[in-house]
Amino acid sequence: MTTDVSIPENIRELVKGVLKGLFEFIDAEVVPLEERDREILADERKFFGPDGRMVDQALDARRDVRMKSAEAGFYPMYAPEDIGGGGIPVTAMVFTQEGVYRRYGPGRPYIAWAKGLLSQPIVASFVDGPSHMLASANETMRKQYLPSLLKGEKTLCFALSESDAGSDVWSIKTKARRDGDDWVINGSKQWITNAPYADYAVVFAVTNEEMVAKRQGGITAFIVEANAPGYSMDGVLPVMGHQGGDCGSLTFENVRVPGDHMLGQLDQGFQVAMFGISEGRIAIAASCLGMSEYALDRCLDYAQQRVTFGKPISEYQAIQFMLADMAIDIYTTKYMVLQTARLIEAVPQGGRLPVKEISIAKAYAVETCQKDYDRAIQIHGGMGLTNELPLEEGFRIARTLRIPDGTSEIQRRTIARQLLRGDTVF
Amino acid sequence: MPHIICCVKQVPDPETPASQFRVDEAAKKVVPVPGIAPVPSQFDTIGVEAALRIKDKTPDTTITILSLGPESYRDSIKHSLAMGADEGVLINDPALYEADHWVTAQVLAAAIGKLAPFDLVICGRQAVDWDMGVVGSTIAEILNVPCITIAKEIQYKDGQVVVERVLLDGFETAESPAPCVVTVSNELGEPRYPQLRQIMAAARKEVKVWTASDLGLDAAQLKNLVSLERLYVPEVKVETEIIDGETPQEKAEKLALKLREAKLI
Repeated sequence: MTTDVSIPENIRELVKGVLKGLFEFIDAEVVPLEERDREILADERKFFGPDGRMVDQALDARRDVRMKSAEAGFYPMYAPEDIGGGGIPVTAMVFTQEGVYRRYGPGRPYIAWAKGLLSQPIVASFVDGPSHMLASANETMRKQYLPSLLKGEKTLCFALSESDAGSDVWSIKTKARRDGDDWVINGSKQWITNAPYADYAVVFAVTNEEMVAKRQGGITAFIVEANAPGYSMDGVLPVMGHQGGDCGSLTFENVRVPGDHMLGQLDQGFQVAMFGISEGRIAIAASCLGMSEYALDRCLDYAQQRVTFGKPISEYQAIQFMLADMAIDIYTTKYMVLQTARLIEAVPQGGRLPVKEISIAKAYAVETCQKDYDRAIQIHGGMGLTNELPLEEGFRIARTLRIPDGTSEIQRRTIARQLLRGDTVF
Repeated sequence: MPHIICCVKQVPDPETPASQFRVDEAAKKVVPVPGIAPVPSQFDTIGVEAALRIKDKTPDTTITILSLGPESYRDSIKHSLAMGADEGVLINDPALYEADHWVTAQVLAAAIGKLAPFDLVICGRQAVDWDMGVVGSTIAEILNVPCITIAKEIQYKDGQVVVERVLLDGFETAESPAPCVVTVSNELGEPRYPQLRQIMAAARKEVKVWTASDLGLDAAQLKNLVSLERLYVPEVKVETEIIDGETPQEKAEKLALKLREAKLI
């Protein structure tokens, strides 16, 4: 057997162990749940209720997966050790996300992205659970909220975007004003992943308008309980033809929050937000890589089986070119994402923050993933279009991901700004 | 402090799709499938599970994983360590890569002797690649200790091993003083999956690597008893015949007659 030299030697055994352990966990604990719930998983009209929320059976199954995964240590494994996470390095995270999506593919909501859901029950990210972003929580917040989040019992959502402000963070209108020792929050949020199901929300609100006007701070990240008076979830926002999902809107009407319910420092929420989003971008890129590999694997199988005009379609150059283009995308994405992960890991040792590289990796990975699913559908012909196969769902997921955590255009804006600031190191 | 030694073999993943499974007939070898990693033989992992169940009840038990094979076998040792085993030993000697069951058992027995004292050696009932099912009992023969095969449960207490065995038509309970060798079957139950903490600890744990000479053996003197004459994938021919008939009853009657003609019923 040849050694997989793509995995750096210092983490090779860790990566192999995590992947094998995680696969065994999924096969032992999650696949039987999928078999049990085959009926609702096969029909979105049964998976989602009329209000677009997952039905209780699905919600319970996903919570069950989260909690069992947490018990085995996998659910919070990307979060830092000092808050109770696994402390898996970013490079190992890339291999893990790649491995999971390559093996299980898109469209399995008890494992990862599917049916318009962008949270993964098997492993938490900043949009729903323990992550590096929570390292900025103070002691009180850690004691109060981390235990149930680490156990997968409770989840949170990352409430930054508004109807008129997403990547344009400085335009958010949700405000928090001081009232004695408390803060009182008013405003609304939109496009918030996991909002319909979250127990807590990390809410970004303006606390100092002058600082915001100068773009020097003035936004604070608050931890708000979903059952607080004045907090309301306005509804699910189904996307890309799905019957429901996990994207929702929130409204805050005089929601009272104790003074220390913050992530990071007062007026410094922008850094907290960017930390979370940067984590999300690299995880999305790694997951898209695995999704593309899954699509290529299916195409290689199918193209060698499917016979037209007397020979397997893999013998036609038109098909071969599509397979080769997928491989070019995968190889390029893989080493781009890995190199970016290495740069992120080098930051604590004095390395530069790879701002443009994170944007390059996110934009490139989601765009090539969408192209690869387009090719995969084309290679599969009519079969590719049916929802018997998860290829059309992979296409919808990849298309969706060109929007959240910074659109492809925002990534290019970030890249160009970095270039113009003199960051031309490659 | 009980000491259990588990023998673990690494095999091609039995889940490999049949369409990708290939053998090199000239070299008489299975061709590794790129991207599909080999795995520990399932019965051996069940053996590790059996040892861990004893350790669950007697926490001061030490479990050593022993494997004979090339460097890549380290993955199976690490997997067993991640399940909760304590130590790992890999016997990696190119002169032994083609070992048959007889040489394998001799080498493993020598390593077990070096790891002594031990209370229990656990092996899978058979490796899932060659399905010979003789290494465990051959080790017992060489070590001159009792052997109990095809276990569905192993209990160890005060130097006594009690094993529930699987028979064709039921179960039986056998007992032996330690040390002894036990081979386990899938009736023992599902092996546990590794937990993240143990995976991380296992990744850091050192695996001892020995060669034949470290065991006091001369690899040149170890001769296989079995030689592999031919390795091939049998051709399976499938012919389909549609049974016609006006009614389901008529079709069933014709089918039954066909099956009787073929002496299948």
